[in-house]
Amino acid sequence: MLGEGDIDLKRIERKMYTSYHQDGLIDIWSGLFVVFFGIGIITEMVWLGGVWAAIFVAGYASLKKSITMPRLGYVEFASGSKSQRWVRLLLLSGVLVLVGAFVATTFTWLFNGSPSPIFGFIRQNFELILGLGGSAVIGLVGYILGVRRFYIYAILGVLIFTVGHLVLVSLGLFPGSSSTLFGSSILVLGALILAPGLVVLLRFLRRYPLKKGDRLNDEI
Amino acid sequence: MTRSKNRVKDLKVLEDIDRLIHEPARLTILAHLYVVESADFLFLKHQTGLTWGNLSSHIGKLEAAGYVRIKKQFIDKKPHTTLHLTDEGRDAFKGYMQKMRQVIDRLPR
Repeated sequence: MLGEGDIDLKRIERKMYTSYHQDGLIDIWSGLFVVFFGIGIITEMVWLGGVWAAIFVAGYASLKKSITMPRLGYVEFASGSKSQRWVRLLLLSGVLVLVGAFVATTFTWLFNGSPSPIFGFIRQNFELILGLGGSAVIGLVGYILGVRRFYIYAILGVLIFTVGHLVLVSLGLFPGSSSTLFGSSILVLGALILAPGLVVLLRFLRRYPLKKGDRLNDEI
Repeated sequence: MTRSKNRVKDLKVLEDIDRLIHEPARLTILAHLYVVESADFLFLKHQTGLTWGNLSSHIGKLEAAGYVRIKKQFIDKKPHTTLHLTDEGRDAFKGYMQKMRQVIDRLPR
């Protein structure tokens, strides 16, 4: 319990927010998305990632409702200050615009051909750029959700894709020539996000078992 | 002379402290509700570490003072009770915090 000397509202808000995400569901869901995307790259069926993204939205909310809410309770967080909302919206828009511009430019060049040296650079490092961009998106998701574990996943992503790129270069392979290696890097990252998520979920289920007394919540 | 006058002034601030909020359990509940839009009993119970009985009794007092509003609704055909801080409760908590900060700031180091 609090004493009047130690009321730190920011800390309380952070603690409540973190506890609501300590069920590991966001990690499991994101990990599965990355894994499906990796499988899609290897099997050349990238749409698999899109299918999972569609399942993600509906499935996440219902899992939260059936796993987290009965154990931990329900909370609706304030949507943040106006300036915070703007910063997040601007960041998200900025990243989306950058990713969109990158993909559009690359595909235009790929189909129309371009003598530009930038095109050569992108072609040489396409997977590394895509991997680093993906890692940045993971970090951004962590920032938006306020889940710091995602910063670690983003750093792991940077390491995995950089190492993957260096392995290709050291083997004398032309980057972009092995979708299996690139897909495997994505699979490893997905597994590294998924595994802690499962551990966090198990810990959550053990820490907050369903109790009959908690039904009181509905009856008060 | 001036020093003792200041001390009397400090004590005046303490006299104005809202005693309903000053109780540690209620202060904890209000602090938790202040940072969210709404929460239910179960979530508050986990966050505050209070028992069902304690939580229910303190919430009752806060509701009677008009600081907390209890909303009963049906989610997926199940009854669900959520708690919100009223504008009055929000102002009272803010006022309490300001007064306590004044007192703490004036403490000799």
